[in-house]
Amino acid sequence: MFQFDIFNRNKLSKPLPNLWDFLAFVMVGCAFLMIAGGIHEVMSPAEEFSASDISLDIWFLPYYAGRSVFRMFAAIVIAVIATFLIGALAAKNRLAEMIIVPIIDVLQSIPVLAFLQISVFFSIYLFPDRVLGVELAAMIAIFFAQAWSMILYFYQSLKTVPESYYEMSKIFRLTVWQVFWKIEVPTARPGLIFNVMLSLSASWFAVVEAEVIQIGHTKAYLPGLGSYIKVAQEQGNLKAIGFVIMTMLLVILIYDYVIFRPMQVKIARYEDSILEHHDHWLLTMLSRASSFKVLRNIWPYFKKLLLGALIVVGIYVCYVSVNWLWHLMDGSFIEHFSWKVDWGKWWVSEDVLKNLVYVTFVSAVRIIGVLLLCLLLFVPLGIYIGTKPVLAQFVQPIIQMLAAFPPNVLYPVMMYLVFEYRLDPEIWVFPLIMISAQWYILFNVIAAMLVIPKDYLLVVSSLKCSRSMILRKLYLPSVAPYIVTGLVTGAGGAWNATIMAELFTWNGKVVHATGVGSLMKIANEQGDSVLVAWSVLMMCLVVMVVNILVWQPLYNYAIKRFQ
Amino acid sequence: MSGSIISIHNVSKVFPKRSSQDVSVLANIDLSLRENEIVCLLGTSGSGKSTLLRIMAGLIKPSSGHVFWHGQPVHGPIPGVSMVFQTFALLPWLTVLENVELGLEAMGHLSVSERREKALAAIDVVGMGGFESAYPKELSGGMSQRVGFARAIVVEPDVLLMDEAFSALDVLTAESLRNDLIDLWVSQKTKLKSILMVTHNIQEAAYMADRILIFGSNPGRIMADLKVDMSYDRDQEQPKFIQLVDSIYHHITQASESFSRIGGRLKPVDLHFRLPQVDVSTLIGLVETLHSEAASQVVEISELAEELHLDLDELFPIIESLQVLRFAQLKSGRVELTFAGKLFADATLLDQKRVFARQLLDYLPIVRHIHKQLNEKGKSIHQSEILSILRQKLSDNVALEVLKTVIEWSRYAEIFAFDVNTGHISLDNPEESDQSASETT
Repeated sequence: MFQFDIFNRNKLSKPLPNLWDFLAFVMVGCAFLMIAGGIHEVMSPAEEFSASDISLDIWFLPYYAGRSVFRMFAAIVIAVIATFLIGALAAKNRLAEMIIVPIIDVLQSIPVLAFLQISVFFSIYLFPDRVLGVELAAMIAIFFAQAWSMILYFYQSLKTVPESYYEMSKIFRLTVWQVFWKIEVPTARPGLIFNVMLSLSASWFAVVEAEVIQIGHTKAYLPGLGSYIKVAQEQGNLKAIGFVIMTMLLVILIYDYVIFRPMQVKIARYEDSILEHHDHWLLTMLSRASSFKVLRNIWPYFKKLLLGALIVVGIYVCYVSVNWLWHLMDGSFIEHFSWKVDWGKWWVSEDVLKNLVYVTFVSAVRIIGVLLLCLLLFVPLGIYIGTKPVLAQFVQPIIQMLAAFPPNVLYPVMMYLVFEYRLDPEIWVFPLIMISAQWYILFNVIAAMLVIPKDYLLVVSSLKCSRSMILRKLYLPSVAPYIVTGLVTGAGGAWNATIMAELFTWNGKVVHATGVGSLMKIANEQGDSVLVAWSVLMMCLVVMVVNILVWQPLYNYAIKRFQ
Repeated sequence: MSGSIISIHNVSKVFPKRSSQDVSVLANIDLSLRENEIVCLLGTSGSGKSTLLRIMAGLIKPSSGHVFWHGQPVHGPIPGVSMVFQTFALLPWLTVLENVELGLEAMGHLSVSERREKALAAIDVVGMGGFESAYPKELSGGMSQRVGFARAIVVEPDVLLMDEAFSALDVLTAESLRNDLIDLWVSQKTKLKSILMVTHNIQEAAYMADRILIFGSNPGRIMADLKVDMSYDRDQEQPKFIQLVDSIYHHITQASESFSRIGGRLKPVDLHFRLPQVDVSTLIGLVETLHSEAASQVVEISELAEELHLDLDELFPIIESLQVLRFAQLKSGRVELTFAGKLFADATLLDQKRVFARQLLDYLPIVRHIHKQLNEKGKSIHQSEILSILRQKLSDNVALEVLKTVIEWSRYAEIFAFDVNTGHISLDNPEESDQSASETT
């Protein structure tokens, strides 16, 4: 038995290898190869990264998938570290709280891809002759896609740690370090994992987009799934697109099964009701394989080693940033990008500005339309699924999976259809944006339906209420606050999608739908960084104003009125 | 007489407020905990006894006064003191064994195997052997608290502090846990020299304590120090035990009576009176119970508590509310219905509301104030106006609680209406205007 093993651990003097060890060896070996390979590639000298380097041969797909996953994984690790550092700082220090929380609130509402432009500038400058520079730019964009919501969540959950835990820790005189790892991190853990899972879609979105980086007038194609898609799209290769969609789905499935499922099972063991049995072969492997028992014994020493390594890396990062700042003051940075602090250059003409306002307005109206359409389609669907708990249990993981699927992988298919059948892009941009927003709404409605107390359902059925009355008096008020939550996240996704979806390219042909997204993208490809900056600014402004004027009051109202 | 382990001198605690007067929680308390005694702090909730316990544990700093540990001044948590919590404070992500080991983790000098050995021994002592690998979710409240005890004694403390350790448990579980604790104390298997416990359960105090300190509130202070001269095989049927319980009740009611009276008459309350949080239905229930009790309608408070299975914590706020509204009064340990109380008990549902409204307007200045404001201004007032009046002398949380109670009582009495969406208090209750119309005709 599992328990038996744990308590006789110190009596087992010589752990013998078993079958689980073999499996563990294979997995650790693979992981090691991937990390080593990734690091090797990243640290190698810069290449050209031209589109011709990307092969559309499907046998290259596993390699590209590996590169993308490595990028993603590195970004998550950085995001987790940042979450612990910044989140804890904001929760513990009032001054830091007053500065950090509003800043993150703002950063959260800025579309991910806007960051890509900024991160390209300084990461390439930092490591001009290494792949690391371009890789770093991609990683930072991915990091920005998920770090903010994680940091905010961690900060909020630190504020909800029960006071009695802190009193207990003081009575037993635990150190700050022990309190952090034994009390604070575990409190946040379940929600944090869920948070990462939810933002997985956003980060895959960023992975796919960030792999093709515009530097001046040239494009750098980092080996990965995103570049593969872009190249396939440019060459009009529909078959390759099909393969990459399948690969993506497979990667997400594996990711979910190997990383998130074991974590959830482990949490369910101490959180859920007693009778359910939770198991996962990875956890069984961890507890059964003798080699891990040995590992567990040397873990305390390894932990110290790891900490030391982290400190060294931290010092290196500090050194590099100081160095960078030094260069910046030196003036070489400005020279490098042939920038002059010439504010006049950053002004745009009145006509351009008018056009910018107009297209932003068009995009905003389109997003409102998309959200309304989502409501019309997915609120009834969600309520229908929610009334059938068995069905809901069945479809929920599927929806979760679909939601994690980056919509921009699907874009080329739609774009192919638009060109093939000469469809109007102004209309067909709708479904593209919709797939970025719809899942959040559906997901939230189903969740809301499932938490309606059983007693209420009994009351309405005993009163023999008509269907429309149940809908009006019970279901809609119950899901209302959740719909607002879904709309807020959905709107975020929609703005992100706008940048990518409004410009249709296929096999070298280009058409665009009117909007700030296509304007930004065209400006970016023409190397017009002034216009890009203005449109990013415009977009952020609209997103933030809508957040403050619409979403927050709506959310507060829904909470107060219906909960 | 053995020396004192922890002693506090002239300790006061004041919670500062920005806008107005500070809220005083504890005033000038002297107390010392000696070797070989179980001391019990007995008082109603909100009396500051838990704050006092935390000051003695070094968790909270007193506003003034000093805490001493074996004669040495204390700053911060004391190494020889351990604590058991009302909410258990077990970490759900750790097993029983890991939770108990956590107590030892900060002691760096122990090796992993020593730590495990000690933890297993402590788990056995509290009778939780066999549950080492269980997660807290698998344990009942009583078992969880046993683990709480194991974690507390595994660090081999001199003093054990217990903060309402049994109040989250059901009656039977609490009793068995109390017995086991007494057995452990008598057997001297641990290095415990003294126990200080906080409770609002009179039976519990009488059952366990060598010394009972009766705590009064507003601000918290020690009203009486009762020495209990009984061995630990106490029986609740024993005449001596019953006598002890009666005398505790006597002390408590006396304290409460002297506080609420001036020269033999009930003291009127002021605008900022800290109204206890009591349901209207509970008030009505008690009035009707008292009414049906006996012809004289005078009941001994200890009998009442026993009959209704109510704790000190639950009964006293109700009686205090009844007294404020002049439905009943407390006289030398007995509750007696007043004329208004009898009238109320006999009235029909609608008349009850009318009587209640009259008492509210006559005896609660805050209700009278709101009523007057509404009549003068005609329209409505916002709840924040009332809240700001209460906040002048009450803490923010308490002010909010008091406002809630005021609104609930007044809504029942149909004195005014309240709209939770807008936060407006107004007279324009449709029923209200209908009723007054019918009254005038």
